[in-house]
Amino acid sequence: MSSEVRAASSGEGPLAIRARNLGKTYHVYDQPQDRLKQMLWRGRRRFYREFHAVRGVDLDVLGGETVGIVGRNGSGKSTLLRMICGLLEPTCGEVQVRGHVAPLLTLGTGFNPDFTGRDNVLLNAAILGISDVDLRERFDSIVDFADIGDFLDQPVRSYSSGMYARLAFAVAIHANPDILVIDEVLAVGDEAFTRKCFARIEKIKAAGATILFVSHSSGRIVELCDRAVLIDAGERLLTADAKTVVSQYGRLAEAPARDAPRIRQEICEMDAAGSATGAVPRPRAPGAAPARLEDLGEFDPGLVSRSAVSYAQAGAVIEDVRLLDARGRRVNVLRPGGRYHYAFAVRFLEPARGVRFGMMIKLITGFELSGQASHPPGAGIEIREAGVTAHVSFPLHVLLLPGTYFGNAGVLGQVAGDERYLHRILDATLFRVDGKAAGRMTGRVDLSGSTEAEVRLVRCA
Amino acid sequence: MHVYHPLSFLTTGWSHRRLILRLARRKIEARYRGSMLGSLWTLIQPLLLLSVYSFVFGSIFNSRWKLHDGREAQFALAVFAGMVLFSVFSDCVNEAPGLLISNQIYIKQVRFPIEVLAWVNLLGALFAFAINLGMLLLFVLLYRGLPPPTAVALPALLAPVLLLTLGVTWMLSSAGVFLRDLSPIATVATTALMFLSPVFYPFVRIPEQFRPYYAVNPFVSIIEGFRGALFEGLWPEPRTLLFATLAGWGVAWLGYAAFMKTKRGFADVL
Repeated sequence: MSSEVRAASSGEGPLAIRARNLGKTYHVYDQPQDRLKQMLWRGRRRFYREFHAVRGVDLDVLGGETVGIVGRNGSGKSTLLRMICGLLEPTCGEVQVRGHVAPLLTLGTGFNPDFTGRDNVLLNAAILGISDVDLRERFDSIVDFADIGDFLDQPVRSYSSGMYARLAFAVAIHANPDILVIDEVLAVGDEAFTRKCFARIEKIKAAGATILFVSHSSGRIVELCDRAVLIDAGERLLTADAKTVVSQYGRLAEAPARDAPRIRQEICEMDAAGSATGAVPRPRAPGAAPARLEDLGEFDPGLVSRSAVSYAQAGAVIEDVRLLDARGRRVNVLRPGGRYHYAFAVRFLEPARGVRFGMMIKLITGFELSGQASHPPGAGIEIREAGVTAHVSFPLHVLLLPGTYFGNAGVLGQVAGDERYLHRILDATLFRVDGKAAGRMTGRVDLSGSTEAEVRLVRCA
Repeated sequence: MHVYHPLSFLTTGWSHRRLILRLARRKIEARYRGSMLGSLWTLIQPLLLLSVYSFVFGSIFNSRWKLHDGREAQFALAVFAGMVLFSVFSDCVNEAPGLLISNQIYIKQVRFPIEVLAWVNLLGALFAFAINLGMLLLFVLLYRGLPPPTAVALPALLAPVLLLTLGVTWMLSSAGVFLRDLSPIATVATTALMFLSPVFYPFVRIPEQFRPYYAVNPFVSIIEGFRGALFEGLWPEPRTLLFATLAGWGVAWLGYAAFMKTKRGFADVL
């Protein structure tokens, strides 16, 4: 593969990645012996089935651009990335890449659990192609970023998985590539660390690196990427601004099987119409129509609470804690200022008295921001028989600033004269408030009532 | 068709020397990491081997090792000398077929000059060789006195073994990706080669009618030369040495070229 782009096809600037008719076909053998038979027969007979992991993909990425790749599992995203990184030889077509590519497909290559974090950093860095001189310069920065304290000189086997990911990501991110290729690796680690990683990626982006980013998280793609590409069954369906692609992806992914081919066709037509107007849009093209908020895929399947804690059930079960938009669709990516509902169902396994339902919105750190109860204390309702299900819905006006939040759900009842939890789930849901963080607002909530600040200048007499 | 320069395998090794050294160090350290005796094992292993050889060949077989000049050598030491040299080759070659499979993360996930793994393996085996040779020299000193001055020629005898080992490692490691059956074959082959080389017996014990077949085995002249230089004060024959080195070079060059040609297909099969 050539590492030089000889002629940038669009007059708008140098291409960092240029792929034409890129395809990868695997020969699938049912049995290992078939591979040997194929070698002996040499093409006079066929013992394999062909599998087209990727076919006919054209892709132009400008230097300094951040492009997202979305698609379902097995759609060929990773194969495409590997070919672009030069890890996999294309079966047909060509790909040209300008500059040093750093694939971030996995974290901690060469990490050995018996060695200390420091040893592993040194080796991992060498494997990632960081020279000794550069490493000496960047080592402190790596350690700072990983922020694992004294564990640096402990064997990696004693690390929590979060610490492991942090250290590994810290090294990877210090490879200072011209082109950074990221494949889902950021799904590891806690939400707070993920934030930190994204802050770092933004920084790399600001420094002028080209980024290719695969994620299932629609919100992340929209947040980070200038443009996005939708891949389905190995084919590129749509290249457009990130919001459009993400919403079309959501449409395709959620479509019932019988509608999928039609929707796929529509998306392809949309792409054809788009590419007629210009091959390579500039990053954040000023003329590009802003995507309507309704278009935004507001459910991010990757955004799930991993820290949910369910209390022991005392006669009731909380089920299906979810956020709904005005139309009753399930969402977890909210718009600042939007109005939603925080809903759950409670199935009663036995009769109960003085029943109240409650919810609580919290910061990632656990700080309780705002809670609601269905009834004031002492005014709970009575559930007369087992088998009743209560559907509870709390209004939620999002006065929160962009960020990620947890929600609790609980049901209380009178037990032997005391108010007790019949069931409670901590961190029952995880949701994100979307939007650019760099507005006028700081902190966590917007108490401005959507009116602008007033500034009066008075000259002292 | 791209033809690889005869020196290319050396120049790539040199340009990646830091990476190779770091990986080799890790490999050596990892071998004993977590074990209670740690690096002491590097000394204990050859000692145990030597004592088993002495017991089996000295006390059970009661074998005698006749040197060219009619004197006798300690059988265990003579066998150990052959083993030390041969195991550089056999250690690497036994590992070669599974080398890329066990390191596939380097192929599939990162941009990594995968050809350096043969060097890393070789350095790992060389480390063991150095320890073993040290033990061997120590016992020669104890049982036979100061080794003859010809012992300085030992490194020259090592060169063809290293080249051969590198070449075969490249060949088998790339073939092993496509043919998973290669691993057991390699183990049997190296064991067979060990018994067919004068490791457990001196060359003179081979019946006349079989000697011509032995000419094709490069280990014959190398192991014989090794023992000659260590025990008998014989300089290795320059012509044999040159021939063995050139042959080793050829194998290394060929192996490297074959590896580099098939390299692109690895990710497809793994």
